[in-house]
Amino acid sequence: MAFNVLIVDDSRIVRAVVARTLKMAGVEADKILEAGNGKEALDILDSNKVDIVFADINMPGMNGIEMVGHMKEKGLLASIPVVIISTERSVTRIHDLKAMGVRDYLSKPFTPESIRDVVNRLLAGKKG
Amino acid sequence: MFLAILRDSLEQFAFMFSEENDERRFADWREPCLHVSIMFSGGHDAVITLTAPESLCAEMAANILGTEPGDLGAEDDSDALKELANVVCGKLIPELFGDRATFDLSVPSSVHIGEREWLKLAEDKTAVQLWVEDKPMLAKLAITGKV
Repeated sequence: MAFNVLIVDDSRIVRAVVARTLKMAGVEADKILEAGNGKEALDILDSNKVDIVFADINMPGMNGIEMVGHMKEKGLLASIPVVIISTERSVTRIHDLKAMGVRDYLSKPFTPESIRDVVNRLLAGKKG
Repeated sequence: MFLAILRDSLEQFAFMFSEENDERRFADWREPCLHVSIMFSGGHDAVITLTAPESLCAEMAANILGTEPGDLGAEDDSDALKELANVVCGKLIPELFGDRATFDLSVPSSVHIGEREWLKLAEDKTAVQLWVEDKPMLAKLAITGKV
């Protein structure tokens, strides 16, 4: 079964790094979609089938925490796992994000192995 | 600690090695530069700034994406330095304030600076001076106060 990935980060270079790291990790997504902030991500989620979201926290316009809040309100978090990729390492922040419904958290810089492990765990049964 | 985190971040994120300033003079460098700032606020307010020649930022962007310098656009070069500042900030906060401290980080911003601004920054004794792949980088951490 094919699956689609949405990468949300205001930095084009970071979006490219995440996409490249997914490929390096052997994660073969059918489609990789990109958004520059939470608002753009919500627009993409409205009109595309997305199976997993990788999102930064600090973005202009709508940040990652606000985006997760909107996804929760819309009932999207149950079907679309969100993985936060951020430089922030506060255990308090990570705890709060997980309490909101974020499924996993990766610190930048991340490794191909860490991305692969997260995808395998969260998309078990969807990848084919 | 700030210097160690910066050097570590350069290696891990941009695959670039650095050395501390030697007898070469930063003030002699003549090239347009990028100056990036990121602020964090919470238990303390602070700002981290990184300044580097545009050509070094281009090399950094190419290293990060596994391409050649010049293959990418100016926006990518600026993004590379901004993201490095972001990584440094993320590593620094738990080292300074513990892993339970929560801070609000700003979105990094960048400006192009010329010779005059570079000279002024190079003469700032509170800034860290590094040579990265034989090009200069200035970095500064300014903790502005406790809230």
